[in-house]
Amino acid sequence: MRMQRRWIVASLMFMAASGAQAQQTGNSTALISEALNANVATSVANTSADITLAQVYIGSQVEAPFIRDITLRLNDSAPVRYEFSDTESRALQRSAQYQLKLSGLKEGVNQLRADFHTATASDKGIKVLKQGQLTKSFSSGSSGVTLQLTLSKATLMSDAAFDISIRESTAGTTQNQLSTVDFMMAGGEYFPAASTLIRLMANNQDATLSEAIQKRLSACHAALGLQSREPTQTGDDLLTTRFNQALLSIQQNKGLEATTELDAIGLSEVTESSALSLRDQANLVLAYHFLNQGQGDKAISAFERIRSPGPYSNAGLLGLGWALLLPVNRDGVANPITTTRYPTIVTPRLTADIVALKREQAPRVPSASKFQQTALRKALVPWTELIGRDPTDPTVQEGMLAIAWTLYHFGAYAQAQTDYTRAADQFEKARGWYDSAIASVSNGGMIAAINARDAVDDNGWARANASLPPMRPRWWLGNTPEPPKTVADTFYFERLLLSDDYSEALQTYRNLMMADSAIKDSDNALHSRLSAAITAQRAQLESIAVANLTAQKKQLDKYLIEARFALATIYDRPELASAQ
Amino acid sequence: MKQARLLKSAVVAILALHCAASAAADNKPSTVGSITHNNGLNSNGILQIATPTILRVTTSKPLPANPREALIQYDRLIELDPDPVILAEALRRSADLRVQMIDASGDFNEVELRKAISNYKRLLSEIPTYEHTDRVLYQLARAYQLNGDNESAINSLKTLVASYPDSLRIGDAAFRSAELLFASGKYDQAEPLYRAVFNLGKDNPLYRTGEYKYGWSLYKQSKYEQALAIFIPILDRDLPAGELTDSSSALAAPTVKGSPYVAETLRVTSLSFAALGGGKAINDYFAKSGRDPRYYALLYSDLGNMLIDRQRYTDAAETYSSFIARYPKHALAPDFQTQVIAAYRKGGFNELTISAKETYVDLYAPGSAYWGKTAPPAKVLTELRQDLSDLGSYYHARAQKTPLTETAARQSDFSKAASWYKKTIEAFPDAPQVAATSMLYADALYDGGQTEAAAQQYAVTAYSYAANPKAAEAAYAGVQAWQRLAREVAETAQTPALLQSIAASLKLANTFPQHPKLSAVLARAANDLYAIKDYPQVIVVAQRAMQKPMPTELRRETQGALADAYFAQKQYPQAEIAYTALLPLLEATDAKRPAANEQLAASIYKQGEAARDAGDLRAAANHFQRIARIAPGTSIQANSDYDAAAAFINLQDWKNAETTLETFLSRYPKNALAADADKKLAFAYQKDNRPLQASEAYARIAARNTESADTRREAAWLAAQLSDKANATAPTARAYEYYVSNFPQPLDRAMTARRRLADLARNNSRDDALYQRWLRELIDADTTASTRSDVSKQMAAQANLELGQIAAAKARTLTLSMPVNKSLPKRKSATETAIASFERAASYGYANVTTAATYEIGMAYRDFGRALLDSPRPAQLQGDALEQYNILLEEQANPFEEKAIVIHEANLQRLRQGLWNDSIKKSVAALADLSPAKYGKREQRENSYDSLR
Repeated sequence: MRMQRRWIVASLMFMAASGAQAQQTGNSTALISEALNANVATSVANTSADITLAQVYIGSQVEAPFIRDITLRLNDSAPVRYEFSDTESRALQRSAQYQLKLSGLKEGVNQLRADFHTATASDKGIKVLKQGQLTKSFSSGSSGVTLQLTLSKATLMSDAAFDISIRESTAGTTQNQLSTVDFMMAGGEYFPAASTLIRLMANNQDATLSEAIQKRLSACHAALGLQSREPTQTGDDLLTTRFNQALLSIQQNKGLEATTELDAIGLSEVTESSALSLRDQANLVLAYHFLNQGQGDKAISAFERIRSPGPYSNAGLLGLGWALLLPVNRDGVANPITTTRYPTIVTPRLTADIVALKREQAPRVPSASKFQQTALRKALVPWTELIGRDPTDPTVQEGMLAIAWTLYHFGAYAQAQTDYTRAADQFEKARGWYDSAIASVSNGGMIAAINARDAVDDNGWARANASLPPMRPRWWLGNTPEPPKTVADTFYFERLLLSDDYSEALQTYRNLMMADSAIKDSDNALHSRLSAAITAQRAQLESIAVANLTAQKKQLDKYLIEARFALATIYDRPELASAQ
Repeated sequence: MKQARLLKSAVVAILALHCAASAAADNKPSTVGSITHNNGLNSNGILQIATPTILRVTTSKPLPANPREALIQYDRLIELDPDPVILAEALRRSADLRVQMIDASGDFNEVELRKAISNYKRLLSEIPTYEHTDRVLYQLARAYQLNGDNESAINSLKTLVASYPDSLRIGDAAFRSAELLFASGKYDQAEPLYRAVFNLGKDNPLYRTGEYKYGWSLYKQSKYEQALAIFIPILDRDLPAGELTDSSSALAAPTVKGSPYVAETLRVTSLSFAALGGGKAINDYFAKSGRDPRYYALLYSDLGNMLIDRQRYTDAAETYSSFIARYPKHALAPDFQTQVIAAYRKGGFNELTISAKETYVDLYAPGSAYWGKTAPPAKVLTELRQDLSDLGSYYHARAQKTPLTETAARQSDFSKAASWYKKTIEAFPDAPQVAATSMLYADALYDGGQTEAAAQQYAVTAYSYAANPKAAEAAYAGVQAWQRLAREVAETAQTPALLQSIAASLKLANTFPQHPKLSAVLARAANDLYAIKDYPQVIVVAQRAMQKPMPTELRRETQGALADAYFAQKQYPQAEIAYTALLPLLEATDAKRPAANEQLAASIYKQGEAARDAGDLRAAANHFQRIARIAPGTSIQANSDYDAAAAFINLQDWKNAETTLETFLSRYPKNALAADADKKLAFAYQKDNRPLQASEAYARIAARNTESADTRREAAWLAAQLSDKANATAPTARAYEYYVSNFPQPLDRAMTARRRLADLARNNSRDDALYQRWLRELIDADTTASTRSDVSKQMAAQANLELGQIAAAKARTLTLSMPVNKSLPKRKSATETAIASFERAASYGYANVTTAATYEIGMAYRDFGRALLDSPRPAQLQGDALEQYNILLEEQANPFEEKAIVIHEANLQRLRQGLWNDSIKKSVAALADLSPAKYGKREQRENSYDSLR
């Protein structure tokens, strides 16, 4: 019962993490508001048009593939490249537009060349990258040019390609600007977005757009902490409501009700990323519920439905393994695997379970039945898949222990010892990373990196991921250990972002930074106040990061402790030690 | 193989393609399920795919224990700040392992040990609720102990005992802490902990040890009775069933053999009893408890043995004795007494040993109260025999060691020894060594002063046991005993003793003709026979004895006895021979030599006497004289010499007599017979007409103040006379002088001697002074004599006369010279002196003297007168003066002439008294000269004168 409740709490926390719940300090909010006003005023004053710059809006049709990156070159001027983050790619599909300016526009015929990569964003998570190219000649007059590149969806005959529309104006339409705002918002740049929206609102003559502007402005305000979030009622949200209801049912001990609902969610046909994610989560909760109920069969099918890769695939793989091992009292199996130990992701109980084993009783070496052996082998499959993944993931860590534990309990002592040793070594290495990371954060490394990456404006991916460069795939497998700084810079950020505290603090920090960036040249007084706020926020951010990393490390320590304890148990055989 | 691998690779490649294609084909999202199904499963429907290596489960044996690796893991996880449960387990196990490793390897690694201790302590302090805290405390104690910190170990264990009464380890902990306390000597603290173990009951594995050590801790605190209360039940329980007497067999019993504590318990039980006072303590304990355990004998035995091992021999003996005291009728009682003996012996307590043996004999001799009518077993008899023998030997030896001065003690011991020997013989009359014992018995009796009994026992020893190697010795000892008896007893009883001795000696001689002491024995017998005056037997036995070679001394003795026997038998010639044979056997310094010599001399002397008695003086003298030759220096020699001289004198063989006597006197001047000898010699000289030698001899006699006065006087007189006879003036004078000075009485003979002396001085010596002295002596002797005799008076008269004559003569020599008045007084005085003497002479009234004196007076006067006339005339006187002077002279001289005439006439007048002698005649003649007128020309041959009528 207690375990179940814990589960519910954990799930709720996961849900909360999926949205950005602004919780900024009053001081920051006031400053941002002030900065926003100042910025709006300044921007209006500075509005000007340069006809040597070509305005470019890059968008996408809804069903078109993701745009991964694009390199644009106007005439002989230097090429401009932008790499889109996942979120940005998806935003483009939802009418957002990426705005950029190309220099070197001349009157008369201009040559535009675009090289780009697209990706098919499937549920399986496999992205099939395709390279595309576009060459377009156009003429330009004195009023400037605005180009709009819209990626169309691929057909059976042809790959996805950009459609270009050209408009003679130094600025895009209001719609263009709204789309640009969407893009900004997708990238978390709420401050410039809000600024733009306020200006649009002021200049807007199209009443049909007012609502759109207002809606976005409200979102921006909410993100900046200037106002509370408005409740939304989308399809995703409906699913979320059902999910929460199911969790509540579990909490209220209405197992059947809950499992039915969760099963329904888990089997629902959805395509939206968030919905898919929620579906995976539902399956996971359902599966663990069955697992805890000892209903291995049902747990297995639920686990198997979780997408992999996917945010819950690691937890799914881990749970599947246990579910496969779960004794199934059928076919006259008289000797089920009995253990009080069932792993959990958030609060593993492995250690306590092992300790619970009476020390006086040497670990049994059961002669595993054929059925058990089969179950074991089956369990090892998901776990083996799991342990190849990010070793800083607690589920991966637990997976390593689970394999070793299982092997040990089936009498594969040598293998167990090897696996425990490998796990311990891996954990030790990870501890090092954490230590380095914490040190780096404390020394301002994290902030420096955030600032540096935020300064980059050709990489949405980077910005989307807390303005950090993408991690090298399977970075942990590198033969030559990467310099600690690099590792520290790369490995922990993604998991930090899973923390609401951190995400919010980071958002606030970035909001402040963007506000400051917007007004620093015009309002010194405000700038200095913002700087102070930034410093304070930075300290808070670092504090959260350190606390989070420390907690992660602590979690890791638990696994390391378990590995070492298990190894010690393997080596420490009192009845033999005394004979030595 | 290589091909196979290639093929496999190809298959995998195809498979991969296939998978991708199928995924693309069905366009289903990749899920946990799909990737699981696609991995590691046996079949994909087309190809059989081997299970990937990583998925193979290979069971194996449990890995060998590797404590070091385990420690590494524990240590590292402890650093990781694990939750309390894990931390507790890791701390405990890592510490356990360290302790175990140090324990097992024996290599003391202090760092590791400290780490272990630190871990335990951390566990105790940080996780007080740890469910195995008791174990931790226990192990911590072990670690402390390894680290040498026993105190902390004890404290830890005590905490365990106090705080975890239900712990499985409580017994162990209590026991171990108790052990540590015990080892460090804190028995009082160990005691309650051992008791705690003990109180856990029999089911506790440490019960036995704890019980045992509980007892020990009590013991160590000197709580012996309490300790025994623990130990005795252990023995009750663990010793084999049935009555036990011997610990080694009891401990060898299969039920006991495996138990490590029974033997030790037995030992400490003994120790406890020992501490409580030994065997008596056992007795007391049993008495108090009212129950003697079935192994009581074993307890005594063990305690005794232990005490012996600790060299507490008397205590051991006392322990054995205690058994006997408590169980006097016990079958083992004799054995225990044997143990008592052994204990004392080991301790070197001879007297106690002996006392114990006495006790043994007293208690367990056949017929004792213990045996009653039962015959003692051989073992006891053996012991008895040994003890009796030892007792005899002991007292015998002790007696021998006792200084002779401690007579009483010696006697007592010898008598005890004798008594034990006697008992031995009585108890074991057929024992092979009975003869030897008998001998010892006799010896003890002998040395103990029971001489007669000893002698008899020696006889028994010598003649009662067949084939007794010491028979001869015993026989001899018997003789010696009788000998001693003879010395010891009163004189009246001596003879019987000697007779016994002699009899024994002769029996020995007859029985053991080859006895080495035979000659000695016989010699002794001879002496004894001599002592009882059985001289004929002496002669027989001594001669028999001397047939054998024998030591000089013995021979000397025997020879002496023989000689003495002959002498006693008056067989003097044989005696002389025997003594003569004896003398060479005697050293010059031998005290007996003079005696022997004397005896030899006596033998000869007796022969001399015999000859003398037989009238054969010559032979007698010869015998007497032999002594000086054969046995010179003997006391009898003087006598014999004297007797020889006497014989010669009787034979009137003066020469031999003289020689013999001279020799005698020169040899024995101090001899009592010397005086007689001297007399005899004097006599012999006298007879041999050697007056001078005789005189000298008499003179010696006279000088000998041992002689009677008469003898001396006569001898002196004889000496003087003989000397006078020999005309030896000086000796004669000396002899008379000696006589006169020593024997003034009788007066007459002394006067005679003086007279003779005077004569000798006048005639022989012509010494006027001496002559006059003797004359005066004559006068004085007479004058002073109390009773004057005629002779003396006459001699005195004569002496006066002669003195007068001398004075007169002297006066005549004094011729007057000038001046006359000077010379005349001298002449006158001289003349008057002479006349005075004449007058004194005449005054005695003896005619012849008176007449002579008268004559002389007359002549003196005449001479004086004539001297005057003849005196020189002074030279200046001439003529008338001269004539005048002449006339004067004549006038002066004439009265003197007249006086002379008167005096001569007076003398002539004595004719009337019938006197006629030379003096008268000479007066006549003088008258004729003086008064020629009146008396001139008268026929002088006329027989009668008128005037005289």
